[in-house]
Amino acid sequence: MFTIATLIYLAGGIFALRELMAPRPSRSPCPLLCALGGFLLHTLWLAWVTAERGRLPEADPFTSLSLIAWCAVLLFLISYRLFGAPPALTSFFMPVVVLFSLAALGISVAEPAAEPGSASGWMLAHGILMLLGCAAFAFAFVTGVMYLVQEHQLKAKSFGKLLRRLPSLDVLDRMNVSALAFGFAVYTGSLVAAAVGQMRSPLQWVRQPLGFLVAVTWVLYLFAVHARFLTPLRGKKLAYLTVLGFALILCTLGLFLGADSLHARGTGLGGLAP
Amino acid sequence: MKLAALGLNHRSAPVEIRERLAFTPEQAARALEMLRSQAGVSEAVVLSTCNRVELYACRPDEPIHFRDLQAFLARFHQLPEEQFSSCLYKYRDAEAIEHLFLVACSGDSMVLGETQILSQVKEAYRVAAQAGMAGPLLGRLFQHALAVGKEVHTLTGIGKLKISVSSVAVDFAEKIFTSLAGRTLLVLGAGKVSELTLKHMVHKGVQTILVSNRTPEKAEQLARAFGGRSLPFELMLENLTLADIVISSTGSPKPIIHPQQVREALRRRRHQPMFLIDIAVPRDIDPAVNEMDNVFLYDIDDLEKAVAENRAARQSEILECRRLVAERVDQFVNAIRIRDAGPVIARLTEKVHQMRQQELERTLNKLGALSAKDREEIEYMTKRIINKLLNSPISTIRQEVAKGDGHRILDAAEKLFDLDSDSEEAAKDEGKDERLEPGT
Repeated sequence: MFTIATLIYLAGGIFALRELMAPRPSRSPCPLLCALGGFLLHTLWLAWVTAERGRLPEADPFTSLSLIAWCAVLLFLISYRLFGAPPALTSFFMPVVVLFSLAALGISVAEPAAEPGSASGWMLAHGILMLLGCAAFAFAFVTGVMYLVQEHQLKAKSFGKLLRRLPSLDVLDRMNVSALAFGFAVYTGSLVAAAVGQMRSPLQWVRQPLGFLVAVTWVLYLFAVHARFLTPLRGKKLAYLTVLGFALILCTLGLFLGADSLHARGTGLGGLAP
Repeated sequence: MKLAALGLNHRSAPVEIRERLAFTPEQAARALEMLRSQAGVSEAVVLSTCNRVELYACRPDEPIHFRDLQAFLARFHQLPEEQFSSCLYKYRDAEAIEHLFLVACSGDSMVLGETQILSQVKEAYRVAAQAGMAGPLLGRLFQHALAVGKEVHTLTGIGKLKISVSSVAVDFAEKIFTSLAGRTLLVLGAGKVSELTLKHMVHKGVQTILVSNRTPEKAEQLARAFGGRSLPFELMLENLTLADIVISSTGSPKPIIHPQQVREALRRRRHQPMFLIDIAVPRDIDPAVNEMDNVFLYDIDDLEKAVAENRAARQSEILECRRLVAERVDQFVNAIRIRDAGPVIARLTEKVHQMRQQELERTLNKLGALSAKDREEIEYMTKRIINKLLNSPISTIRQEVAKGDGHRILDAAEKLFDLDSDSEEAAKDEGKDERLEPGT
């Protein structure tokens, strides 16, 4: 079922990119319908897995990546409603969702699922918030890239169809900042939950490579949020920061997926994220 | 269908001829009345705009001669025919329909994609309908033309991209700020283009307008016209901080806004984006300003380049526009033919049965005394023969018409069975029944 959902996301991504490059805007509902259809199927699959096992999915990399994709589509659908549905958003966002889903499928073939474990409430909160945080940062990354592209079009005075089809800088900045603020809040919440759940001070896990990378990522996003709300830094520089931050998120995920650490021992959903 | 269209436009005739042949709405109504009474035209529409004068006319019995319409124009405007005859274009039937559809979607306009032509076509139709000259063919044709005009504007980009400097500037502003509502606009100088841009921006909801000019009276006048306030020119830079959008068109020989001033303004406004429009020549704003983050500087060349690209993009839409028009012309012609198929079949059946009746009576008279049953049997046999003979051509006509390619077979049927001579009465009756009301 998840494979079919991925294929639908893929179809949506292709439709959206075709629409972005088409000589005239078609305003086809296909990309959005694919995103919606894929999301519904994805949700059904998650519900089925949970019902079949009688508990939340395990802490394996496959489930983590597929859940990040799920959260990302959820945020995308919410933002689609909140920000007046700029069609180009689908063109930029669906490829990221497809990449997460395909990575999950690749991993599911390569690695067996981890053994189930028991998860405390704190670790459960840690996992859920971490996934939401990653999805929000993915969203901030996408809007950051769109901002940079649109800003370049306006500065270079390229009066092409891309300029006409991308949303205004103001909309992109608002989407970027909303995703950044939300992502930072849940990411911080996730780290607090992990620290409380494991009864370890942050200083202890910062000494591990994964913990260190998580801390660096958090500091970078802290700087971005601080800069956006308390200093004049905005626009292009902020967009670059969100792109850099997402690169760190990907590195963290890579390290998490490759590490046989506490996470990989499978402590329920609470232990599945970095 | 016996439709004729004759006219001239900005490409075929100079303005000196166009203005002599133009019709006011009152003149158009009078002309329609004259066409009916003097030229025997049953339906006509006069389309007269600043760029074109066109006559659409038809009558059910015989084709209208272009020379009659041309002579009518000359007579009406008291202008010798030789002065404008070489400027005229002439179309019949499907070509005339295609031309009207293209005109309605502004594919034949001087400014491609302009929307004013739609209301002009509508007005021409209204005048004709009021004069009782928009009958079953032209009434329907003009309603279709209006629908096609709207459809082409919706489905193609022919009218979407802006082609004036001022509206392009507004488009760019909306790509930076989304909405101009609540924004502050600073106008430096008071040129014509800046006034037009200001007008567009006010229309889009700009909230605060500040005008600054070396001549305070001019600033005051412009500010008053748009509900803004004027500022002394010396305070212009201090007010730069307040402005989201700056339109500059002073006559200064050297730049009056430099990077350090914009940097300072940006710092004070916490790096909120600024959109600077420099319409002046020589330029008022140092181009280096565009290198700064959150500042977008467009000079007159940039805006004109965008206008040129938009014009080219509109031009490239003309092919798509023509394709759509051609499709709609086929549909319209076929719809007219389908409407015409019923009377053709009725005339055919009636004619053949008349012949049958005549021959039957002649034969029965020759045969002499026959029983009533025998007579009935013979009559029934002739009916069956006729029905069997007609069955195949009638179903073929219906099939071809349903396929959308019926006009050829209808023409053929009319010629083969010599139905043209019988059509006059039917067309007159139909004209009475199907006259359409304006605005429907």
